[in-house]
Amino acid sequence: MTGDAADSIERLLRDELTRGDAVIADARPVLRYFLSHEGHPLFSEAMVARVRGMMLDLASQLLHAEAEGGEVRDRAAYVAERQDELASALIEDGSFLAHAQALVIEADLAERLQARSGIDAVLPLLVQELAARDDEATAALAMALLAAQARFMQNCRRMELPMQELPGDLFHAALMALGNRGGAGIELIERRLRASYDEGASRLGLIARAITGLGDEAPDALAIDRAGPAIFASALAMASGQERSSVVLSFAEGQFARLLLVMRASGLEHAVMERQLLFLHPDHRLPLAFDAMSAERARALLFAAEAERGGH
Amino acid sequence: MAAGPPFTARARTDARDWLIEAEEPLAGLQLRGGGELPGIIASPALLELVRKARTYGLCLARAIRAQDDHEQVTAWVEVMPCEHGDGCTIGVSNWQSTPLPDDGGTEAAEARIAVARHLAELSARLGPRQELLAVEVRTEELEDVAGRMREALGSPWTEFALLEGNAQRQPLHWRLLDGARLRLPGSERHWKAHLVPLGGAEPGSAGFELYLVADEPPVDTTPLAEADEKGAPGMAVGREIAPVLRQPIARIIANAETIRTQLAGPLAEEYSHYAADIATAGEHLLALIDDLAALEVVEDEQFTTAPDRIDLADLARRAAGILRVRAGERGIAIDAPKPGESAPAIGEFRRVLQILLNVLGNAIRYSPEGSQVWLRVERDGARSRVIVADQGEGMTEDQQARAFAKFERLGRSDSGGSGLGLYISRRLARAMRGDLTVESAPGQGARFMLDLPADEGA
Repeated sequence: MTGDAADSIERLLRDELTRGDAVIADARPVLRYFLSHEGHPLFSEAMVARVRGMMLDLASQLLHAEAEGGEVRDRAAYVAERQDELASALIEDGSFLAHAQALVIEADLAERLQARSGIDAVLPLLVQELAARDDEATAALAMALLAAQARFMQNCRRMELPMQELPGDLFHAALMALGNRGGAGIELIERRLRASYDEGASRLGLIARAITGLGDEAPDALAIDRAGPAIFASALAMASGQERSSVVLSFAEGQFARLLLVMRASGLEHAVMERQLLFLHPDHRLPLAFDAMSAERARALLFAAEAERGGH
Repeated sequence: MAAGPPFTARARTDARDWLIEAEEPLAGLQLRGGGELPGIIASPALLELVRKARTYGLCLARAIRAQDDHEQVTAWVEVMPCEHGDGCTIGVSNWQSTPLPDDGGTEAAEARIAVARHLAELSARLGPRQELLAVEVRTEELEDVAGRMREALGSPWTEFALLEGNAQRQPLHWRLLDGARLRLPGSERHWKAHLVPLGGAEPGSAGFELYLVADEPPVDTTPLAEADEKGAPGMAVGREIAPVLRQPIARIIANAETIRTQLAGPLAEEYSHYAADIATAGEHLLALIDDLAALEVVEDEQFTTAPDRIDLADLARRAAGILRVRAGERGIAIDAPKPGESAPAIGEFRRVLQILLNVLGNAIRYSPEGSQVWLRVERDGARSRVIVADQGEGMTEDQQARAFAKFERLGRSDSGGSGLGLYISRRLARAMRGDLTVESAPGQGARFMLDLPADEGA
């Protein structure tokens, strides 16, 4: 064995060892976190499994589209070979994780509210009323919303994340992740996918459109028992200027302060907030002192926290 | 897409994200937001959406919020990129605008209180029933009344003042007394009460601060130098600004009218409507300048009126003649005094006409279509009176109390007026040693009464 070869093996082993150390160093805090937050819904195994499932599903849709455009013969094999790698790339991008996590929390909450308080996860009162309107466009929109919401609940149970349902920015990011792998003929495929996308037809698009059209009934969207969690979350996001996913996160356990701030930033009054808490956190009470906080101040606190998060 | 909304407005942008064409109300928002047409999109939210749609090559659709200086808009916006990335088409629906929340409300109230505290010549601390607890005066003129107040601590403060238009001696609700005009024994001047409620949960539960502020400065302290100073700076709307603004605005109105009446050639109906809106807005601006100039005049301490010998019946007929066309547009009939009637009075001819045009103009503006407005004259001893009665919605007592306040529009948000008209009219009436008052009840219409000294010689 020449000295050179020994050197190169040593170097290889050394590098491998360093990498292994890094993995162990990374794994410990994660493991500790999981152990100490056992049972916490944000870190539950169900959450991890569903987010991973959604990412794999998204990767699979993208690869199917690529295989279709590239005239691959055995598409299933083509997708299976590349699915994990693309899903990892998507997971690397925190915004996909945040989106998927919010969807899981939202679907969980919808199921819980349906069981506990009889709030229809698919057809809440507000959508019923919109569907019964004489105005054809509104009624049609309500029906489209109903279908989209039913699809959403089903998708979450199956751990699916249809790419047409992604917000525009994520759809763009997903296509970039696909294209970055440098597949053949990717430009044409990308162009076709972009042309087929319509943010306004997605579930979140339909919800936002319905809210802007409410007019006098706009306060109904800010009542979770009338609007259901999906519309409620979008309405809070619009009224408070927060990202919808961070509003949905505020529904989760341990995010009580954020929920209060989001509601106040949306202009909800004390009595109305108390009513929402009855549904979201029946065991929590609205602190009396909170009454003194103005909507502007609540908004400022939320934005400050967001800026802090962004800075790290 | 499913159930596409009917767009209320469409617009087109180019590869630089400039708004090339836009329909109302998007065009208006662009201009009010400080943008130009064509020009870069002025609303940050819309600009971001359009830029993304163009660079991603995706149809994006979102609710956006935008605001200009007086309203907040939410709308549903769909942006479709054109092929080759050289611009987008925009469809807007569900356009909703709400006036901006009145952030100035509490601030303005605090400023009013600060001014009252500063100017008050009599200040007192009251208990929760408005009983006197302590009294402080800054003028010799009021020492007398303050002395009597101090002897009767515990009695309601209203016992020591003559509330204008109110014989009642029991303290009214503080909101009704805040801003009330009154006379004080031993003082020739007109006074105004300011009540500041104390106590957090329920205003007034911990008592009140009372400040009495005079309309006129103290009689004995008017050195000439000070009076000169007052004339020089200040806003000088009437003298300096109004003449400069009037001409360009008049030109805007004239051009808009030319477009509206299609003198410049045939035009789509909607554009002719826009032109009408421009003309109306311009006329409103002109009226506002006139009001501000008038306000400056009547608030000037040197302001006096000429004691013309006038006939209120004649003036009422003239006012009716001037406004008959406008009334006719709304199907409102004006019933003016008959040619034989007369009510001689002393007052300045053009000022009285100004008051009548204001009051009658309000009656026409806020009465239901097809209703009637009456102008009546009366003579009652030393007073002559002209009454303007309408069949409008009428006013509550609270509204009547507020109607004459400066910039008070009684909750109206139309572009009708500045909220200065009645304030100015009353100032004018009082400057002529008369008064302008109102009687009304909700649903009963309103009766505005202008009283002036009768012309005994006529």
